[in-house]
Amino acid sequence: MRQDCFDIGAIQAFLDGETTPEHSAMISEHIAGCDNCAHLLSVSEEENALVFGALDREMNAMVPTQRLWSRINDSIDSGRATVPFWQRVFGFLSVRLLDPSFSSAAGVILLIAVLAGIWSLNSGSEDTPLVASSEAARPMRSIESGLHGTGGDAVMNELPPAAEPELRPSTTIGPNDAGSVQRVVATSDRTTQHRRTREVSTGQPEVRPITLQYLPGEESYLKTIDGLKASVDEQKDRVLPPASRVAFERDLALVNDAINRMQDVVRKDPQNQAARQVLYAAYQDKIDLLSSVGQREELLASLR
Amino acid sequence: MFLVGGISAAFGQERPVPTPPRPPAVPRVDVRVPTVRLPRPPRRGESIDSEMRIASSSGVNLKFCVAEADLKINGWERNEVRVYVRSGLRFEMRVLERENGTDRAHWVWIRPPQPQGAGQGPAPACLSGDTIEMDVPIGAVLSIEGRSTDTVVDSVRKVGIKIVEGSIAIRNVTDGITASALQGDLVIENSSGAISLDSTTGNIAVFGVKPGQIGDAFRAKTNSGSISVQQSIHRQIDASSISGSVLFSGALLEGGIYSFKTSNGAIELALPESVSAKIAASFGFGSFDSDLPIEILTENEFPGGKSIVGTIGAGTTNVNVTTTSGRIGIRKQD
Repeated sequence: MRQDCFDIGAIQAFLDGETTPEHSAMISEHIAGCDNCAHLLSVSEEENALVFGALDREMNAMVPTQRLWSRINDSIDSGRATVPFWQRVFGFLSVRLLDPSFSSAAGVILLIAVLAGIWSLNSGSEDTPLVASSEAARPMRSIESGLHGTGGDAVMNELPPAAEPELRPSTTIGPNDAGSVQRVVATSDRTTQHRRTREVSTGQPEVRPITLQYLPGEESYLKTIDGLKASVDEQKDRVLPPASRVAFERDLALVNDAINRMQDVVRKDPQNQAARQVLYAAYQDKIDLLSSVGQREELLASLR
Repeated sequence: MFLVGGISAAFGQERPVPTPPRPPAVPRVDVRVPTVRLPRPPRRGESIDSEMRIASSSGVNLKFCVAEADLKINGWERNEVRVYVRSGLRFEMRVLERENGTDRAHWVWIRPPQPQGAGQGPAPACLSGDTIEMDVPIGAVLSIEGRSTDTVVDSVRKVGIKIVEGSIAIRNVTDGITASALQGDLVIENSSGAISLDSTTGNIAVFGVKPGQIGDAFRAKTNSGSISVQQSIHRQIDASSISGSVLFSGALLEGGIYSFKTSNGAIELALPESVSAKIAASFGFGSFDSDLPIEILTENEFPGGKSIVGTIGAGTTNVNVTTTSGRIGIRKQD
């Protein structure tokens, strides 16, 4: 037993995926060279497999999974989004008007508003128009950023009809690509390759399209990963037993961490071939890892 | 009369009936029929011990799957296949193809007997038992699938095996191995030919493998395990892990292509002092050190990582070493 050995608690946390990526890497490296800790890890894995195997059905039946919570929350959000505004106002008023004090106050406000309206109509007809700004008479156009799914990027500006731009990103981005879009946006200031143009000058109306450029070959890696990930998300609850699921999630976290870190390095210096090589190796690892779930299902299916 | 009879019956007055005379007593003779208790045929799904043999060609192909059992396969000098299942399901050997001329079985499918007729329900497709032992010709080619089994294969020509859960140990195979264990370790010894090993959550240990012919490659891949390759003389070696270490110990052959990769772990190469290799090492977050004198050709450092290309000796062999997070070390072989 070495002095820097980990106790069973730390190893169990490592197996459960509760350690930070750095700590996980440290534990992995240590275990690779330490027989005692490797033994502890194997014992813990066996215990996990035993316990999860025994409790699998009960846990599945009793404990709502994170995915279930996500679905519930998504349903609530989508339900909220689909209710029209007037229904929400009506619902609010129907509840509040049951309160006598609120209903009397609302009545008074309504009466004042009606009187004020009548007064302003009578006195304002001979005066200047309510909106006299010349700016307001000019056409206003709404330009969206063109990034599907990101939202909140609308830019308001005036444009002559001839200069109306057609904004299309150079790469189609699906809902699953929100992370990569954010990444590109976040790093747009640091790299010249990944630019996102969104400026609209007031003098010369010029809107440049958004360009999302990948490193050579990167796009095919990302597309493959997206395709596999969608498939794996559907399969993994069914295919992977608890012990394998733990290992899979741990490996996936390690690979994702490696990809994120190398992406940062490569975005800063896209010409760095060595960093790109390491990044591509990490992409390939992720593809292999995701593919292994499908291979497992194929083998299980062939044995049924 | 009928009226009188009916009235008398109604009032319970039966007419007397004459009783027949009793037959004379016959002396009793005990006749004992000898009973022979035949063995009850085993019911479907019942565990029994069973053994079968079949004459085969020397290069017989065997295919079967194992649901659950410890599987031991041994090559012998006879042209015969013997299968013994202890405490398991009955099985049959179905000959799919016979050898021209000798009419010996050349392709055999070993499986539980399939039901004849309707209403029998689906039969299990895989062998099952406590232990399954097979003796096969040393030239046999095996195609095995398994659900939960620890497998040992010794002295056959070629092996293809896929196991969901369980360890695989293979030795003395002459013409190639393709082995995949989703959840289990792989140990390969003293074998030759093209070798491809996959494990999802297991370690891979390889000792003393070599190519059978020019171009035979060695490939080992695991997700959550370590890989150790010792005394391999393949010219093409590709070993990769995701969250495990990779260790290679042995000589690098001239003109060979070697690739060692891990995402999160150390890579250690133990090479002879006389090695001649061009090393291209890349790491994202880790370190590189070498006990052997390496002449650096290019060195590219980037935040958190480094890429080094250098030669040891004349540099006649290409070695690529990549780790995203881990140490790369080159050691002098003892």
